[in-house]
Amino acid sequence: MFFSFYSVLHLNKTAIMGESILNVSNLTKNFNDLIAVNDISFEVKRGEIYGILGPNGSGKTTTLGILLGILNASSGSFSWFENGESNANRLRIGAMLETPNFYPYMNAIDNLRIVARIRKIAHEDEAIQRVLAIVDLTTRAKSKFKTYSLGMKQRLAIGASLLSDPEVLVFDEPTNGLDPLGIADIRALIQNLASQGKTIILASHILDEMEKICTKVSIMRFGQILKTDTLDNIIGNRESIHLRSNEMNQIKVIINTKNLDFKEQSDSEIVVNGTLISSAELNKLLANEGIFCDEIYTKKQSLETAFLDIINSSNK
Amino acid sequence: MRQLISIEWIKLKKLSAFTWIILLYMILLPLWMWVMNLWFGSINQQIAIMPDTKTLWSFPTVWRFVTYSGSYFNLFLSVLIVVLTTNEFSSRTMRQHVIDGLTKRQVILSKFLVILGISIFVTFYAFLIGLIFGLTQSAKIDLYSNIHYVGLFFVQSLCYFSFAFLLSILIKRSALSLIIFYGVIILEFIVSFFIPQIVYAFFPFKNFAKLTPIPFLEQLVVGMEADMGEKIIQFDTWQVVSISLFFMMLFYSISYWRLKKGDL
Repeated sequence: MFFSFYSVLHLNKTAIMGESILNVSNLTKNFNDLIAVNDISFEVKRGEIYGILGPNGSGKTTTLGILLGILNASSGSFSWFENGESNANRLRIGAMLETPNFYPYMNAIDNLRIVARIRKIAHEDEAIQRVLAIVDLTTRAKSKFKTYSLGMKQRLAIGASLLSDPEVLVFDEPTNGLDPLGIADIRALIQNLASQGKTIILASHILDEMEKICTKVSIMRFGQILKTDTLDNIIGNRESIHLRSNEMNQIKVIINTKNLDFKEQSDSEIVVNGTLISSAELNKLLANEGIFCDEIYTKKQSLETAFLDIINSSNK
Repeated sequence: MRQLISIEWIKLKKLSAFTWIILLYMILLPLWMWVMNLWFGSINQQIAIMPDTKTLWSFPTVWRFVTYSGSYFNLFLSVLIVVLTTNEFSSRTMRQHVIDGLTKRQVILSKFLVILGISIFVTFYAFLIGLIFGLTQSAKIDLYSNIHYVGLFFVQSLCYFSFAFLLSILIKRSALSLIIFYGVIILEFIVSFFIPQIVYAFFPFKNFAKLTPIPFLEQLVVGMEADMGEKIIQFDTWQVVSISLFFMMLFYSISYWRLKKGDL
């Protein structure tokens, strides 16, 4: 697939980690009475794959819209490359926001040529062929955009964002409309770009995708950032202990006496919160009571669980 | 500037609506002049104040005739401006251009360049038609008298197209923009019956239309003044041009303000 063409990407691998790429300060956006983005602040450093997580309508796209100059902030400020909100900053950023936006009556080459002219790319034909190869659209390069499938349109938009080999890439729901293979390809492409020193900002509500890609995330809801941290810190070291047994009633009584949190998965399986007890300790506790489980295993907490915990605690 | 022109040209040359509307203009303008000729002929039979309509095709009247006939096409070609501008909203390419690095000022400038290019083309074509008829139909070749009407026709094109552009920016939908475009022109005409003529003389479409007045206007005005028993208010050409250019600037300023202050 298309990421097999990575070798044609000539990217700067000597990125300086830690340099501030984006600084957002108290950003707010109102649409009449609706507060779409509510006083958010965060910083993205060079080389990070920064995820903005949140359910639909949480303000992710609005935030990116402001940062990319198509929406005006109601208050607050942001600065790209420590250079304020200058229009020139956007020439250093490749971005795909929401849907792929191209002229339906034009083919991929002409659509990319317009992007190349906007971004003042010197060898535009070479650049166009390069990105068409990366996103595996070379054979459909002369087909009109309106004849493309949703996945192809999405890939063309990603190709357009790579056209000028920018330092920073901003993708809003980049795997929308892609099949599982396409999703895996995009994920690999993003990881590859990051490994070459690119800074990537990703907005998505697909937690599994974000967990596999991001190094740092902000979790948004109702326009506010609920938490910002590295992925490891957000997920934490907590484990869940999965128990499978036919003596579930007795097990539940024992767990209750020890004040441990648990969730019933089925009649014969429960999941115990591993924060207060390890799997070995739990196994020993049950064995002392004469109960031997059919199966006991631990699972590291997923981003989804952490996300739901954060969202739920924000409801309290 | 060259960058913006090259970007707009890629869009235009691939848009079939652009090709068809321009071709239609090229075919219909001479045909429309023939229709106008018949109309003037019929007026002449009723009011014997105008010279023979044969002079319409000859220098120097042909410049007034071709620009007056062509002025109707400025209204027709405004459809093209609306289509070109609202397309950018419907395919969300205007916002993508800003994301990709164009400034909102460049977005406005690029569309102004398109309007300028189309105005130059339609004016040049009208000039060519006038020249061909003038050279083949005139007993005496007087190329330069009245040729300034070609320049005024160019200003008129710019003004009508600028208004079409403004509505497209404000409304963002082609059908509604066109309805309002023609609606406002008709409304201004209706309003003219209820307001003092000195006020109406400053209205935009009144002035745009006066840039390319009906041939034999002077004779018609004298006739009408005689009928009405009062003097008709007439601005001189430079006053009409100044008022028209003022409105054109106003349309672009509002468009720019709307893009700058609003969300894409």
